[in-house]
Amino acid sequence: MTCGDVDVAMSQTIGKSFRPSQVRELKRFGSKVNKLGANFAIYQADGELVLLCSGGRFESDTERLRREALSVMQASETVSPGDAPPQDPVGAQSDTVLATVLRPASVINRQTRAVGAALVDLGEVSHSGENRECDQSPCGQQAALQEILDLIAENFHLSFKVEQQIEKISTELAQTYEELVLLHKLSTNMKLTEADSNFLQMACDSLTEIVLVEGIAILLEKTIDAEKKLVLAAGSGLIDIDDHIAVTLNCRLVSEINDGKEALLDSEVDTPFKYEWPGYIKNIIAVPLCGKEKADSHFAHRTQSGDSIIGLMVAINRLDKSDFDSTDVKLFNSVAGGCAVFIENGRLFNDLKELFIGSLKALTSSIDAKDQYTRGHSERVALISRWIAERVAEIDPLEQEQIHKIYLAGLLHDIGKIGIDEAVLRKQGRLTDQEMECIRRHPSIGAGILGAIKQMRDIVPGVLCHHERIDGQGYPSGLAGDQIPLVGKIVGLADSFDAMTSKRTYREAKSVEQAIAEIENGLGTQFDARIGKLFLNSEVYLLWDIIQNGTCEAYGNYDISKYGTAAVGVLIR
Amino acid sequence: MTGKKVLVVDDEIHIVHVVAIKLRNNGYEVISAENGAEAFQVACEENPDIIVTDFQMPAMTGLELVAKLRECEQTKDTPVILLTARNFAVSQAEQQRLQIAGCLSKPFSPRELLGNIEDILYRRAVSQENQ
Repeated sequence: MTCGDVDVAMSQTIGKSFRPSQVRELKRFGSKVNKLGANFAIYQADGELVLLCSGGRFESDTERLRREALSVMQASETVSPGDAPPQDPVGAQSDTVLATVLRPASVINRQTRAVGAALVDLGEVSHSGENRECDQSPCGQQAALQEILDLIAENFHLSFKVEQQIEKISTELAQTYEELVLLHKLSTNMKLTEADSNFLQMACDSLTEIVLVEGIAILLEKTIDAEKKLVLAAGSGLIDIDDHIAVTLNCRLVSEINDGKEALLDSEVDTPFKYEWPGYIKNIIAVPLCGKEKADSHFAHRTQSGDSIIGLMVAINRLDKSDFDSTDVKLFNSVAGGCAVFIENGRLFNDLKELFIGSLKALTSSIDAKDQYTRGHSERVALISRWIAERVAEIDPLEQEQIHKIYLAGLLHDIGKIGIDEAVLRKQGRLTDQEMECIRRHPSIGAGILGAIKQMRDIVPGVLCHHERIDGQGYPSGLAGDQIPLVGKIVGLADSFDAMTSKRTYREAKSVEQAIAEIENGLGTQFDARIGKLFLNSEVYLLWDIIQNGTCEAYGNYDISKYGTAAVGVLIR
Repeated sequence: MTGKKVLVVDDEIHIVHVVAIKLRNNGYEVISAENGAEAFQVACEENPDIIVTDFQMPAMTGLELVAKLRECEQTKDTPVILLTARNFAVSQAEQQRLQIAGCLSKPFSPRELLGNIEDILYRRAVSQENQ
């Protein structure tokens, strides 16, 4: 038994009307038909031969078979287009050729055109008795073959249906995988170190990769010139949101949510647009970003769960479907939820940092205030310490985290004075040895206070060692040279510079020039020579400006008032 | 990269379908196998341009399959992407030894897999042009 022409025909027709798997299946049927002494052929809708299985008993007239195939397909179109495929009429056929129409099954629309026809060619029936292996009348054989042919058509229909369903389910599964991976990516990237805008941009970009839309944007509530506004925080694709649309969007979203909906969905696919939109918007989805915004907010509309809307995520013009659906609502809400949590965490962390540095500054300035001459001293020392640390970092490897810690050590260096008698601190004129002894205890007291706090441990060395001298003549431990930690050397130098340039009970404030000269004299004795020189070679007058005015535009683009907030971040994290 | 032949190997048939649909929709020819032995045979007969195989399969693991492919003259250079379950991470050294072009952990993004395949085939085409 051979199936002539099959391979040639197959290679030419793959991908046209029949899949290779279908051709293989039909070929199997063909070989069964061949066993009954008949030939089997498949034609596709345009009349091209797909498959010819010849039993070898006779040659089929393919031109005649083609005509039969075309006529049976044409007949089925006109007779009963609405019928379910398996019940298709076998069609008009001649005595020796049986034919049936092959239809794909469409899950959505049952009325589908034939993709081809299957034919059984009985050849020259009954003339010679030698081929009568089976003891059947021509009529009986024909009926049996007709049944087989019907089964083939039904099988083809079913397998088509199954394949279509598998394809649909697999496509949905693939989309589910994409969504899962996206949500996983969002949750693993929810680190506080990430900037808000980076995270939101990633969310938009990832979403546009798996949901085909013209544009996605995230709008967040921001205060600009004392006015609350919804501003674009991140976006992908083509989307143009001006202030007017932003306000409109927000109002409509809030009203949808108050109606118990999870999102604002609008298109004119099933019903006319619910709202009026600019012409370029064919369909739209918007979901809220909910958080605990303060109640005085202009945009903060409470949702039923008690949260407020702090922003929204909007997408327009779905490209692969006619509009957005409930699946999109769920996905968008998940992503928006992740974004909201991220923003909220960031805000809470920032609040925490501001509260913390505010408390530290309040504490140190209350100590500085014990003595009118040391007002603002701690914050200035913090600033100068940071300045020196940055100069060191230009030459030695010094991480940003270390610079932050040096700033905090500078801020807290005199915290131990809280345990020193005010009378001694305020005393005008010369101190007795006993009083001096008392004052010299403040580094140890400060270290003791901070050492009790786990997060402050790294700050302790700077507080403890800021009165050590490089020649070993300092206190409390008389450490010399590199026994003194870097932070101790830096805070010590910063403390001295500020003391020199400040007014004291017993003297006027020294000029910057005088202070510079004094530090130069103290290199190698009071101060570490290397760090001292780094400081003296820096733009001390610029620093002086910053200290006097609190800000300086020339000094980087960093807001000095935010130094502290950033610095305490390293203690909390 | 259209018309390139991809062999997808996984005993979990839904994975094969998910991958096959994504690749077919992007112009690739997809052939499949359900286990290592079948995959090896198909790879030798069909000479795919790239193979995507599951790591954890009964009888022959993905790694064993790759080792076998590397010993065969016809398939020794065929790029392979390994799909792994999270618990079966394949070390960098192992990946290098078996010339594994990429590793994706399940559940993977079909889009990412497609991107990886396109990258690998593109780089291969460029390096072959240069030779």
